[in-house]
Amino acid sequence: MSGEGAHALAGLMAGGVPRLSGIELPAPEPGPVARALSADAPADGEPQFDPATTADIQGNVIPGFNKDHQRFLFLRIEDVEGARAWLTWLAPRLSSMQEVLDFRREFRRERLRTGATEPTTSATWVAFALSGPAVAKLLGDEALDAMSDEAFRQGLAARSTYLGDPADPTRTGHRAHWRVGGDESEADFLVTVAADSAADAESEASVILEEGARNGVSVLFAQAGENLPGNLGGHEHFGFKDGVSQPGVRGVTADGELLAPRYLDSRDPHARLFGKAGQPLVWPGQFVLGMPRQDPADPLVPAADDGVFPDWARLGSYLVCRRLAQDVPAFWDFAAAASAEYGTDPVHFASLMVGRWPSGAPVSRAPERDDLDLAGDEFAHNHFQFDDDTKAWTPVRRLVEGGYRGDEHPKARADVFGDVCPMAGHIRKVNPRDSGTDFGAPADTMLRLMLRRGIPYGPVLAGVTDPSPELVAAERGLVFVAHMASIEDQFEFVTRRWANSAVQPNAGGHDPVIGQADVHGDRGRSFDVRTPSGEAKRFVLDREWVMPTGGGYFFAPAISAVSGHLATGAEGPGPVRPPG
Amino acid sequence: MELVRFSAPAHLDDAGRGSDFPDQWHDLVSGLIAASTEVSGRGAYVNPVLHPVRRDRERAITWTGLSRPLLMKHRDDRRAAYAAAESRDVQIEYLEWHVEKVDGRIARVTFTTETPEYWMLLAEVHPDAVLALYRRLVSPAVAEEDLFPDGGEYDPRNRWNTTDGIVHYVMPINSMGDLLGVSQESEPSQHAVDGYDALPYSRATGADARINFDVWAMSRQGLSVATADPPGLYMIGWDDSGWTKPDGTPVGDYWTIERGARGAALRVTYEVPAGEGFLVSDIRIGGRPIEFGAQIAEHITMSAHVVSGAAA
Repeated sequence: MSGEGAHALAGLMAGGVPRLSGIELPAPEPGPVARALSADAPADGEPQFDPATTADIQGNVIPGFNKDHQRFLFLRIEDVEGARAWLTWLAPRLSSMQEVLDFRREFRRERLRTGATEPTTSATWVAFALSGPAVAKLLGDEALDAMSDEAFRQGLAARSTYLGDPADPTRTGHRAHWRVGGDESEADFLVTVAADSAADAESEASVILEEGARNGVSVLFAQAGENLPGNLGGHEHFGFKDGVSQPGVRGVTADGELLAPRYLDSRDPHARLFGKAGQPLVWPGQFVLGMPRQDPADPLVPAADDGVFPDWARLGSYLVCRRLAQDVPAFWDFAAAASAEYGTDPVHFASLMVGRWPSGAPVSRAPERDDLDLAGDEFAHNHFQFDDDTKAWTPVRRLVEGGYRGDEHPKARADVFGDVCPMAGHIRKVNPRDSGTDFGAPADTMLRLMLRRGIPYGPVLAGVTDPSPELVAAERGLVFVAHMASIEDQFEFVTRRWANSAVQPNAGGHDPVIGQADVHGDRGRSFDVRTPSGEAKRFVLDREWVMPTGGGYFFAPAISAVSGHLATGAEGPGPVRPPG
Repeated sequence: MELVRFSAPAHLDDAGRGSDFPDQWHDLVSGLIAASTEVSGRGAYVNPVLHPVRRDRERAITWTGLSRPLLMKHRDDRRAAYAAAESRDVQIEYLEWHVEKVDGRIARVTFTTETPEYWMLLAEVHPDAVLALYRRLVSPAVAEEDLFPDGGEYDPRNRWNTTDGIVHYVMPINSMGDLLGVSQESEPSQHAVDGYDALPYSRATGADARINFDVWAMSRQGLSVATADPPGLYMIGWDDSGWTKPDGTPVGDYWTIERGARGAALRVTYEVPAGEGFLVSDIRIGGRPIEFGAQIAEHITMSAHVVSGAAA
């Protein structure tokens, strides 16, 4: 590594982010929506998750495990009848949406009260998903044909070069070299174990694998995912806070709990569009089959229909998994060289490439330098737009009464031409927010959002002073995991049409973090950064620092479908577990 | 800040030296633009022929060539969207195409972004040039009578621009007038504070929404906006990564720009060179065989270009 890049990398997140604390939110109680429901009113059309539903949807879909220690078990069916028996055994171990919601609710209150980043209670959770070949093995080819998502039916390996992965088999990143999910190494099942300690995760994974081994389910590949340590907790390996921006899922449970709590005062012009400020509310059918999904034009009403899927897939969710190796030294060497050419420091330039500073503070609200206070304010760090000055937002009374002092951080200014946050900045590429896109109005962008559930793997290099050559060379990256209702219209759309394009959603170059290109063998990419005078300066991406090394397209069925339809092969919906 | 003199799309020179066609084209386009139109916000859309406009910033407004309305109508069946999109009458995103088949299999697809206004004016001023261009672009068999029935006016829906070929738009709301008209539309409420506030947006097309939202955003910043010169609609690029030959290897560059230039193409054909030994239908996009021209159109990015600056 070059001196400047290594220096910048070693110095990342030397200081911790001061998290909000001292905020006491009232215990959840039936909000206005639920009260309206009890009065038999339509309640603003909020989709309802009844107890049978929250007991059936897997908890890593909604609200997401978000645990520091995870194990990804890529499994293969050796014996179909054995696999059915194993599914019957596994189903009661799967974590439901309700179980994870209950945990999250308490942890959220605890976090706001104390600023803690770790929960004081622990839980170990399990999720299950199966691939297209597994659907065919368990239910037959016709059942696979009935899955509406054609990309799922094809599988990740078949779609690899469509995503920009290398077409040349001699290149690193070509599917022939993948650890799992390549042409000959496609997994049938993906089991995710999430825990609060590595030992807990390992222990549960072992039990699952042993039971699999007894039932003709073999392990193809296992990957440990570990949150990065210390101040880098929640960051990816380049050193940037990850997962800051997630859509809020519209919906209310029978207890009156909103899946995405509303923190904007009802008089705020955007109160019906956002949960937290800057967190768009998206209809749940974008992530869970059979729920009301997003209307292409109007974010406030559901689409006319819920989509097409076989009965057993109801309340399930497609899952994209990509094992992405990250060449951290290459990224920072580039940032150092480019920053010298641009006339700034490596961290600033790398932040322009990402659109956020390492802390997670958006460049749009902190153009000059990182802002740890902003980063630590979870109600503010996602509140920004690109095309217009971002207005102040009004917190709901319960948040103010709970102790939130309000969002007093510098506001984002209109940035129509990418003077502050480059058009190619990663977060602007994959979520253009309020801007128009090549597919139209910002309402269309809400059709593209995913629920991301990724976690890093491999030893941390960021923040390490004088790392050994072995540590520098060690493999590290991200297990990208995302849930959605359409792989083609969400994950593939954002990857191919936006990240990999120099002109979409806005002209200004390729996504310099995750963008790929492979046009007639040419993998050349570039992106533009505006100089202070407004001139677009082009930077050629002369090396690649994110490389696919495995993964798969999967489907995470409802828990009842695991114990029922998949385990028995029977037609019709499986039994629904009782709530609680 | 000089006044603009509009050039032909992609600086085409179909009329030759000494013709007054360029002057007439300039007048025609200028006539399609109001002198100055309130858009949404403090800025305005202006006619740069009549009002000097600062050209501080240029912007490529981009969208996708395949009909967004059809993709939304067939959210769960993309093949149905492709099939429906083959009719010129629904190719609504300012990109139209014509498919040529051999034994029922696609051999060539021709894409155009050329406007009827341009061809109708050219036919009026230089009918011989129009006939020659049709013969060169579509077929040597084109007869004058086909284009100018009964020795009269040019018929834009002639067989060589509909059933037997393609030269310019025929879909009723694909035109220079529509592009410039959409650009001058004001946001319905006229006081949206941002892009979210302008929702719901009632039109389903990608192009109209894109043009509206981009122009409105600039206008809200107090910028005046004008069409860049030359005004027009272009194919700014296409993405054939992940397209494979029958042997699974990546396709070569099978695109031919017949009018316009790379980055600003007006007419493009997609056809496998004879020596390759297979047809377009044998190509797979992300593992799926090409059955429709729409599958190619989906990977073509369209553009229109504007300039903007502080309002005068």
